[in-house]
Amino acid sequence: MRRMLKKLLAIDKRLLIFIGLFAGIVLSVVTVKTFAYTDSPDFCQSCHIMNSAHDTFADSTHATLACSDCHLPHDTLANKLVFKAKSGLGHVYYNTLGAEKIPNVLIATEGSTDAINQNCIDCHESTLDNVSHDAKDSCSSCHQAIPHGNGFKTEDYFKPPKPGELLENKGGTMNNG
Amino acid sequence: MARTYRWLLLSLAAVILIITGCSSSDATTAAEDAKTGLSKDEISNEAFKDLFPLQYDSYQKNADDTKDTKYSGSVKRSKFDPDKEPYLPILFNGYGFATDYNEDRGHIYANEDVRATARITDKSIGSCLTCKSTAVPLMIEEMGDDYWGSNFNDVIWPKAESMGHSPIGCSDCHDPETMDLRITRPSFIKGMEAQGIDISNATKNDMRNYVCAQCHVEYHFAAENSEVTFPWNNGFKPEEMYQYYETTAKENGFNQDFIHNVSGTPIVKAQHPDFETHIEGPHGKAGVTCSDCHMPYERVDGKKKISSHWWQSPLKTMDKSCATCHSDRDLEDLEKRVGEIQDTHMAALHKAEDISISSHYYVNKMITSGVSEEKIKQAQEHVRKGQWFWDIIAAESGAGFHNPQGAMDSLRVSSEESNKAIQIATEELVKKGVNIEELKEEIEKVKKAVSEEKDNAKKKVHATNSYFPAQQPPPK
Repeated sequence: MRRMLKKLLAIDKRLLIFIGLFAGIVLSVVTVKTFAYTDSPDFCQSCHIMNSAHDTFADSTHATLACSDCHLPHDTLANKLVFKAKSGLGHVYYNTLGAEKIPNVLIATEGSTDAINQNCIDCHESTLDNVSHDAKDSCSSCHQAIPHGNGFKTEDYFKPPKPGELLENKGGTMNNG
Repeated sequence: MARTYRWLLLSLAAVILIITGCSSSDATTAAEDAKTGLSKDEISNEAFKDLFPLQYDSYQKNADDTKDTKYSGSVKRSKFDPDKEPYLPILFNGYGFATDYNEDRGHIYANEDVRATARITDKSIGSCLTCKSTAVPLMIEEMGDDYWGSNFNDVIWPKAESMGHSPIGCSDCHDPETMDLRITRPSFIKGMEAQGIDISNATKNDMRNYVCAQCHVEYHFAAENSEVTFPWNNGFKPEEMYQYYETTAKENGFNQDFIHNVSGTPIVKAQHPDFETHIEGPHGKAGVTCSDCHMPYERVDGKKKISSHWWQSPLKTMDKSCATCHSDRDLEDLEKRVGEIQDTHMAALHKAEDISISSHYYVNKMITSGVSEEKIKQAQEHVRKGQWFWDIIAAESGAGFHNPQGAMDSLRVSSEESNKAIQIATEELVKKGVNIEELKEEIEKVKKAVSEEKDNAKKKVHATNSYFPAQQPPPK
């Protein structure tokens, strides 16, 4: 151990700074990329339970955004990360040990609802300035179909049933039906 | 060192397993060729038990007959109870529904309850079992049109038992070999054809209505062969079905289900038009199906969902039935809203029934006061129409929720028609010098006598008396 340290110290200091700098860049890029990836629809969709949420989002006018753009608060970075960590831990728990406790229908928690509403306002601020919007206390009171409006009935429902589908899904499915 | 590597390897293997386990299985087993291994003629619910334990367990919950909602639910109670519709023994006087009429329990009790009802007598026919037993489709296949009119107690019931039947169950809606949804009652196919709807191209969404619509519909027994027949040629609305009964049905020899014992009116008795009402209502028009609310998707096996096979009022499963779409609404508010719709509906229904009762007694008085046949007939036409337009609403299971405005419209027509009968009667009775005040008092007396009778089977007896003699022709 000590010998290794000695060897390390023996290296040219400039080279050491260079390696450190490089490692730092790599580390920060990895961190940023990881955060971005875990904000992305691709990542959220990797848990089956988000199938229908993802499908409806991908079909919507908001499809180019990341899940976190709407679902996490953006007032401060710290707030966002704490919220993200808390939600993430909850989701990990429910998708593994707590699977039995998943509710039948997923509905935004109170914190989520507030964050989502603020995010609507942040992007659509000029609309709110131009058109009076003081009748309801949240955007989704009226605009409830955005962007997950077509979540329940996929286009499959309006085609002839797939033969064998019910038999295949007898143990249940991740989607509705 | 080797130990550390082993752990590394193990966790790597675990990660790989999780990832592969999670990835969607694109290599779908050739679904179309998959078979249950059951016979295509399987009719026993128990045969499906081991293959479909999740759905079977859900179905078994239909045995819970302890929970009521405000106006409906799954408890077997008499419809004549004071908080239900206590005057039905007057309104159906002269028909089996004045003797015994209960709130229905779950599908699992279908056979037990059809055996128990006093409406099934030695004269009852095969048609009465059509929507109760899983043996019916095979019996129709085997017996052809003889099934409908064969004697219930002597022929049909023993035969169904010997075939090992079950109460309304798996094979009624599913092909036992593939579990695909299917239609097993020919009356539905004919009814849809009569309206020009080809059900062979039905979508998955349609089928989620149609399997229920085989039975939860208005029907009558055809005059020719007693076949269960749906009055859908002109449409699903109460007025469209009434038009059918006034034209096509009469042309085919069907005039009435019974002659009313108070007014002597030929009456068409309505039966549970749940499908017709829903399909014309706001949810039906929006493409919502019976199954969406009455068979909500529920998680029974960890994260995976199946359709609930416990058919009951969605008021008991609002978190799944309503919140799947109305996720932004407070469920308590929604429940209150449904309650308001149903309260208004029931109040209007009771009012329409009340006017209908009066119309029957006014016509009874016309008959005993020597009013002309022509005027009596004219009044009876309105009594018949008035009764149809409240009965098609009363017979429906949603207490107005399946189509609130449609129900109100029908009750409006009912009240108008009953009032027209009363108007014609009043004009004629005044000419004959009948004391209208006394008539009104006698009607109230009869209603009181019916509601005060504790024995449900005897309530009907008080509907007629010396002032209002029975008008039904003696049975042939």
